[in-house]
Amino acid sequence: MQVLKVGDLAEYIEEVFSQEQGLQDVWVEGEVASSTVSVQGHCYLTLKDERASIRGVLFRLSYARIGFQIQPGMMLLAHGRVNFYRDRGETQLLLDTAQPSGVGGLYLAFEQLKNRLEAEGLFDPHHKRRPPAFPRKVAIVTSESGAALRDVLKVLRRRCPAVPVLVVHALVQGDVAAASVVRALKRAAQRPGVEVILLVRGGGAIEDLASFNDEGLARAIRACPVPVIVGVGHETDFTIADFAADVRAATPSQAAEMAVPDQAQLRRDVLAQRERLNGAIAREAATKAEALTVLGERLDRQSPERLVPLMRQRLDDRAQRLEAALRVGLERAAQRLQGQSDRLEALSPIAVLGRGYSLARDEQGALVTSVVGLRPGRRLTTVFADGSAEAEITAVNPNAEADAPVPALEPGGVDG
Amino acid sequence: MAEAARDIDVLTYEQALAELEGLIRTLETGSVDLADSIASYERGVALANHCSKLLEQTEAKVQRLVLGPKGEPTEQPVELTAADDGDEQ
Repeated sequence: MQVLKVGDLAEYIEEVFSQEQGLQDVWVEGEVASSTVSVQGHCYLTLKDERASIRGVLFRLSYARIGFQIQPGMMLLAHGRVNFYRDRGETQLLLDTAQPSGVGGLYLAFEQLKNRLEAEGLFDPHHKRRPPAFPRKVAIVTSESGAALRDVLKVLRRRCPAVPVLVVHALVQGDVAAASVVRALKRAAQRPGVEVILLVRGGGAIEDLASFNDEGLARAIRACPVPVIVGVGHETDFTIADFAADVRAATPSQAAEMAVPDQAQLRRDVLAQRERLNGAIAREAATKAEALTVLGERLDRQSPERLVPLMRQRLDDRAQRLEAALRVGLERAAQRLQGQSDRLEALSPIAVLGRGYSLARDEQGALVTSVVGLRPGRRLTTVFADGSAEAEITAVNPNAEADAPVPALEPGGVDG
Repeated sequence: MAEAARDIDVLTYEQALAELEGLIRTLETGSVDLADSIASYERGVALANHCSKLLEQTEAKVQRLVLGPKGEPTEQPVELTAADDGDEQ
């Protein structure tokens, strides 16, 4: 019979435990029967179910990492390895991570993930993109058999049939849902023309929404090159996908409302813009026409049609002035003439007659200045200052010294 | 004009509307050059026509993405049945 020392036996048990593969990588679920946190920050706990209980420990760093407090009564899903603690002769779980399980646990897990991703900046509003108001194409990532798809299509067709729609099927429930949604999201984003993605599903209990509370999906939404609108069932709680979304809608229908514009409204908008455009060009034309009129008027003032009367008027004016000047000149000339004529008057033989002279004219009225040619019997008119008298020559007596040859004219020859 | 129309064709509704609004604002402030105004107006009309054309479509075009035998994605038209027109339930 081989007798072992306690220490040897403990060592042997420890070795068996450490070599047993089934004890190295263990997920275990149970209710927390008790838990204490040591001054060093390690969490000591006991997990139990209706058949057994087992002690375990989460060392300080691992405990800090899980993000929630382990409390008696909660259901815990824990991971680690099993070892044998020689000092006390106890089997214990050396845990590296733990998460709450069950409804309450899922909620805690949700909070934990949310806080972690938030701290990382994944939900930063600054990173959220605004989808285009009028996308070229809308992709819907959802289950092809879901009511959410019908709701979304109905809204899209009513609100804006002009925007083409691409449906990308994804499983939204079950273990592989998150991975399926991530794949569908990537495929949708790669399709040409897709400018916004609607990630929708009907509502459900928190257990059903696991795929939308997935860290991988949250990261896929943020990594998606196209803005993502998330709309999950009827305004239940937020999911992680809601927080990660570029736009969060309360329901699938609301997501559809947000994804496309109201086509009827856009038609009215375009009409209004057309009216504005026409008004603007009409006003512009009116302004230009008015400027043209002003210029035209200015030009008109320089036109011959206006200038000719103006010049004619000026000409008339000048002509009048010329006429007036001429009249004045004529009057002056007349006056001067009068003066001259007065002086001439003074020299006139008529005036001499007044002084006692007279003159003689022949029958033709010619002045008789010489006796030459005169014959007795001719009649002369003797002119006085105050009248005249008819006379008949009775004799012709030339002066002696006036020895002018008397032409041997035939009597009456002068008369012809 | 044909050149202008071609570059308008590739504009999204938002781009076209934004350009149209900018152009109207410029027109409303009154430009110096009448030829510019007329060119602006003509482009404005072309932009508005483009917007209207984008709004003409009244039959929704719905397709679904399917994977071919080699996993290559293709788009197939979805026949919308009367059932799809049902109440929003």
